[in-house]
Amino acid sequence: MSEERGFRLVIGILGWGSIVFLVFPVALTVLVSFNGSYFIEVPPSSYSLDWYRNIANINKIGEATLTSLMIAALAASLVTVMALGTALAIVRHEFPAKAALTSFLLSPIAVPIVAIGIALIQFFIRLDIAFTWYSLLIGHMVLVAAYPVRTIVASLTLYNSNIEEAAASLGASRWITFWTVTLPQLKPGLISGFLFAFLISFDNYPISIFLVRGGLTTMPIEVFNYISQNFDPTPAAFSTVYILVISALIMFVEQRYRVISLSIGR
Amino acid sequence: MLLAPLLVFLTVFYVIPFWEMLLESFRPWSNDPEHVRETSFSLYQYTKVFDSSRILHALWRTFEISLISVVITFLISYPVALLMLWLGPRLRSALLMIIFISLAASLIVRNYGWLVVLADQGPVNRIMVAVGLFDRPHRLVYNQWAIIVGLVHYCMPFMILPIYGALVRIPQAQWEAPRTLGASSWTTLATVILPLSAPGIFGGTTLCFAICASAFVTPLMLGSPSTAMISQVAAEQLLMQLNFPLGSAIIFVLTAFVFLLILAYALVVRKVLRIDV
Amino acid sequence: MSNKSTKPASARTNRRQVLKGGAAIAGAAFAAPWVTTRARAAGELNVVLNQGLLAKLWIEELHPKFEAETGATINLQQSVTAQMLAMLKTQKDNPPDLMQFSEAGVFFARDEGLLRPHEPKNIPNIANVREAFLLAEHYSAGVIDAVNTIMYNTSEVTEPPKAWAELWDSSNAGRVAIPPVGWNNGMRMITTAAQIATGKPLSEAQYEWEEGLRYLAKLKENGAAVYTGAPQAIQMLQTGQIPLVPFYGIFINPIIDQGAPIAPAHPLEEGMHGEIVGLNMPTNAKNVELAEVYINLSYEKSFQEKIDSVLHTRSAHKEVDPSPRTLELMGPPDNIQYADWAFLSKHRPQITEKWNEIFG
Repeated sequence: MSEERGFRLVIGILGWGSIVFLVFPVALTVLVSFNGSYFIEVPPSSYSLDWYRNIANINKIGEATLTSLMIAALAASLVTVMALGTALAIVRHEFPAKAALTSFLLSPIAVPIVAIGIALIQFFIRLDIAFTWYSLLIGHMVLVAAYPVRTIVASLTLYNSNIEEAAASLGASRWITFWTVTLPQLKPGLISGFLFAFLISFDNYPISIFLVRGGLTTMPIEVFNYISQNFDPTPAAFSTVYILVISALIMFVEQRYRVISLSIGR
Repeated sequence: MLLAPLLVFLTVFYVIPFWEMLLESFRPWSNDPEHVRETSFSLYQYTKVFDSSRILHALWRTFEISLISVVITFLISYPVALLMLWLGPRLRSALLMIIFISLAASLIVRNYGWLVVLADQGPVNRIMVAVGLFDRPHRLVYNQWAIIVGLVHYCMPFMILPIYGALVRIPQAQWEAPRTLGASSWTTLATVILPLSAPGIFGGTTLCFAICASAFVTPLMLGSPSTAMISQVAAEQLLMQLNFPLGSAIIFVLTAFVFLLILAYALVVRKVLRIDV
Repeated sequence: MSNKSTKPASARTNRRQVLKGGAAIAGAAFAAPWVTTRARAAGELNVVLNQGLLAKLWIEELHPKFEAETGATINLQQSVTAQMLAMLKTQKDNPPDLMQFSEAGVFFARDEGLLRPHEPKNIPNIANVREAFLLAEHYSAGVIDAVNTIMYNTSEVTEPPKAWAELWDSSNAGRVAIPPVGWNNGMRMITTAAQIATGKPLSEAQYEWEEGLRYLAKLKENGAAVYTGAPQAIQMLQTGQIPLVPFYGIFINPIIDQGAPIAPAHPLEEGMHGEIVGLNMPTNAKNVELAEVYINLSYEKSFQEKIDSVLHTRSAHKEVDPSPRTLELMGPPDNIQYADWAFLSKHRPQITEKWNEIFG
């Protein structure tokens, strides 16, 4: 059995090493946010909380962040729901050109985001809905739609439909079967899809910059504006704050609804 | 039908705007120094794409960098997925959260961090010199390697989760049976587990490849003009030269290539390796 | 009907309070249409400014004054030059009213039919503006000079360069980074290289860009790097990783003020690069009169003085001369050279392609 232990050890080292690599930039961001000097130093020679106080100096940061949160939450929810239907259709039913359709649904990821922004703003202006918050929402939905589709399809492909058949044979209606059997098993796909969509939308700059004007602005745009004129660690401090908030939210949902650990199954 | 909402939405807000872009790619450029005044529709821009050594180089480089990044991401993500399989539920939840949180920090801030960390006098160089792997600090930034580091890091969550999702469905028996027959853990991994987790590997690799191929911010911040990836070249045409026809053509060539590559990949996996993905 | 009645709460007092509250709400409701009508009548102005100090001065000093004087609201968006032209083109059917970008983009935009000229008679303060700042037959109202020169790291470079030609010295191999051709100062590297290669002054040399490119290619052999954007350039300079980097003074000055070991090199034998940034009006702009007020306010002496005292760069106003600190950070104004952007814009695609063959 020591062979197996050796195996586990090697995988363990590789795995934990990779996790350290994964966490590294976030840890660095947090570290840098406490930098005493104006310039980013690693390791820092002194520490300070100044940059946290300075967050309020990022122009329009409050409303921009609110807009970003709203758009990200709405976009992620809407596309996840729509993706559910689509994923079910793809996996459960046979129809012509399925492979092509699947590729099409996943193509927004391969298209450079700049192109999506440019294509959309011209389209919106033509429709006379440009620079409204719902046009921004639409842009973000197009951007992130592919992610939940992928994750839910993945969940479904490896899904054991025997339980569904068992439920049906016991007389459960299709709707109840769906709610009580199918949906819970799809939780991994739904949740990871939602989270990907949310995080990507929240951080997006290239699409937003083309679609906003005037009163409408998003958090990444204001942070980018700030970074372009100040080279201090304030963006790192701000990043740390919202990472903490997002983590707290995820943890809270986990506590209340045991969503994440349920989503892992087993 | 179930398919309808998303399909309708994407048709209206994705297909139609891009249809316009596609049409644009067949038109001549109003400011073209060669004063090409072709009649409305032609493949002129596409011939320009394939004539331009810069665009072709960028295309090749994009695929090279994407391929390398995807392979490295796979190699370091698979152990993480295995780890998640073996750990207890609490640690698993914690890991899952860490994976998502790595996406939460602003990409610009993260990339700036890589610039600092990989600097000549930065921690990585200092450690490598101290440990003796480098004889002197190496230029780790403004080149392909920094880009690959940035891309690998960004792609990890998108690789770990599909693979984990596939691993978790593999019954415990599949791990134990080969061992009882005398096979080593490594052999089990290679001959049994890997093929069984193929759908996850396929999903993860194609997703990561698409992400890398269209990457823009990371190569911009970590690379140099000589390492420009195709997104940057397209952006140059679209944003700076305002050559929308050529920019659109580049975008569609990229999309076509990515599509074809993934198709070829899928065919090879299904027909040659006989794995169902 | 005093609310300060000390009688115990009775239905009558409550009703009074409700009545008073109701009257207040009704009053507000009546007032509201007046408020919104006035706001609508006063209007709004959609302005796109650049980044950093280029915008900050306007935001902090001019916008409050503008809003007070006209009663209109300003809708501000900030962007970088690289995006602004594309924004202008994609939004041409519903454009902003004013965009702040440099002369390098003006000719380009004008030739694409995206800009409309200003009406000097509607902008009285234009009479006080220096010649160099009146651009492109009034298609652009130049308000500030974004001078760029060689920035160097004071720890790594003991003798500041006295000429652009020094960048080609073998002693500076691997210590130089130049801007990308997409940046306007990247284009100016080519004109400067042409000056050095041909020995002619800028006014003639800038047309021999092919010579310039040939000479610039030598920098590549010398191990020069090319930066892709501000984050890289600043990081190179501030850490000294690459200590000689041409860059814009306006963006570096705040960092110098924070104590970074960076300083500008001036005067330079071949001349520093001047680049006039102006306020430009897109073709279908809706709020032309308000835009003209905005430009007029930008040309007021009190505002232009701040361009010198706060931004430490060259002001457009004839009567504003550089203060000592500005001279320190910007250098002598007569060392600043301006290029023929009408010509350079026209040939930019070809120049870019050739540059990409060398450095791309």
